[in-house]
Amino acid sequence: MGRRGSSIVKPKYECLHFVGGNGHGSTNTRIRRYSSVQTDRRFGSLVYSDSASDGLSVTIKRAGVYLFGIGGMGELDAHVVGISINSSELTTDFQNINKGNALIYGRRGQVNFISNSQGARYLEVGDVLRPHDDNRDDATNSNAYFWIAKMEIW
Amino acid sequence: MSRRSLGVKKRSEKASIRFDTGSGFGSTNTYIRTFTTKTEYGTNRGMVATTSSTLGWYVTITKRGMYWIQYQDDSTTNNNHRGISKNLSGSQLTADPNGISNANRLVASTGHLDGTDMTAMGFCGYFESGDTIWPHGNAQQNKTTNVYFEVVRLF
Repeated sequence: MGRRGSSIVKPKYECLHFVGGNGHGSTNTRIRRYSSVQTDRRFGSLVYSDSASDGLSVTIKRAGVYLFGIGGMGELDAHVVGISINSSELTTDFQNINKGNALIYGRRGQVNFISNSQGARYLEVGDVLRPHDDNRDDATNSNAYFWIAKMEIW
Repeated sequence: MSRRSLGVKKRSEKASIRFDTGSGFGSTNTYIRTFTTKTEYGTNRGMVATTSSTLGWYVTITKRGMYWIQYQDDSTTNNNHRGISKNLSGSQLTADPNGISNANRLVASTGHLDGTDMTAMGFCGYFESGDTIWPHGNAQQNKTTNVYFEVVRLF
């Protein structure tokens, strides 16, 4: 009996890991961009979009429990980073957006300090997550990162 | 529906390795943390630990899959960086985690006040067999208590 005919299922691990700060969207000025995708394993549960105007966003295509995290660093100032969900306040500092759209929050009050934060939530199809900050998270190196992982295989 | 289709792993496929209580850094890899104790559940179920006084303590993945990693550290000096790094080699093992190559970065943080600003960080992602995961400091994390590093095989 072949693999397809047996009970063996090849697991599909799904996750994204963006590293390297690359500014913000020109229109969505509080949405982060990254220079590299270090891990891109997708099998239909996640899609992402990164544009010069809109910044980065990840859209959920298969509901489930996801873990996610973000880090950043302000090279000129204290900074705030966060991950927003379904936010329309894309030019508003993360700490001032509607709290219903804020998933996780991180802050460091000193120049050149790396922040990090992580969390988990059951996400629905169509939910949109964004790396959302106060535009002071301006690191251009690996101190800026954003990741998301699906907590089940199928 | 099979267990796999539900994302449920058999007990034999789950594992964790935890390092506790900081004890300094490797004598050769001077930015890699060493610890006092190792606690392991599920020996050889997807990862192995190296506990070396010269190389530092780190974990090597032996079975591909999704893993959770957490690390907490502290220092009696101000303003030092710490992070969880991947596949370090050469001069990276004696260099600050601040701004390391994108390919080696998982997560990082910076402690502020000396001795009272421990930071914790976590990362979840997919790893291949052969990947190495390192508790990466800047040689100033000299605290012993409230210091841990843990890798958990999820599925």
